[in-house]
Amino acid sequence: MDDINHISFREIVESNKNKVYNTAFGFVQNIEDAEDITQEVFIEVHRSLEKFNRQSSLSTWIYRIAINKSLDFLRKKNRKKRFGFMSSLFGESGEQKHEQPHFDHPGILMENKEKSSILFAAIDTLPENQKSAFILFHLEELSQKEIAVIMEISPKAVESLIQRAKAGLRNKLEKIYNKRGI
Amino acid sequence: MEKEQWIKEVLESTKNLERLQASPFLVERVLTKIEGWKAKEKQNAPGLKWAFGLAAVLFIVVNIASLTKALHNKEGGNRAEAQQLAEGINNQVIYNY
Repeated sequence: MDDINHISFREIVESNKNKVYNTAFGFVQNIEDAEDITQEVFIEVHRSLEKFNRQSSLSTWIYRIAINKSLDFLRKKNRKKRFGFMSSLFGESGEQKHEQPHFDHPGILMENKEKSSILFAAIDTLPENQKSAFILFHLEELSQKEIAVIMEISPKAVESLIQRAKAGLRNKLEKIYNKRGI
Repeated sequence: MEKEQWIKEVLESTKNLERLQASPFLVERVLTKIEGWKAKEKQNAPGLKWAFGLAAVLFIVVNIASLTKALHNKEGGNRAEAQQLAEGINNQVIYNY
């Protein structure tokens, strides 16, 4: 790759890295994993930059890659969890790799740490499309129109996904509240 | 009421969230990985791939050819043997007492 491309790619990374990093964190809820995904996203951007058809903005396209990479990561992780569970059922000596992710968001105020940790755990249980819409709307603070372009669905569908995500979260939080007897 | 308040607080706990800052060395890390990936691709250069492909095809062709030849020879041998046997039978003198 020549220097000119290096410079423009550097600019692309610099102007989008925080968006990608924060979005990935919303999905995986772990600093190290979010950093790995961010790197993978930009490697993919570099690899596919020639194929980028400019029908959407560069930032929209990068968001799309970030969401796909994050969801892929979670799918792989869940497969590992299931495999670990099956192994433990059949008495294989392999240790179970099912561990609760250590949630630590440096940007959350100390007094909100516990509550946001509960919220993120509840977000983790949402279906993929609801999770994506909720993260982009509440954490990335994108408009429903922007989310619609990224997710390639109608703004109405985005609204419906966010409503369903909220209802699902409310339901889960109620259960947690009752269980804990707060 | 308390429950509703708690749920509301949890749902709003990410409000005014300070955005995370990606590593300032991210670009360098990404570029290093890309260089590594390119070097790997160079190792598996298309010329080398073609050479491997050609060698594999040649190997298969030679094997098929030798197998066909062997089968053909065997068939020929069997035919010659049968002919010899038939001639032997014809040359036998049958004595009918």
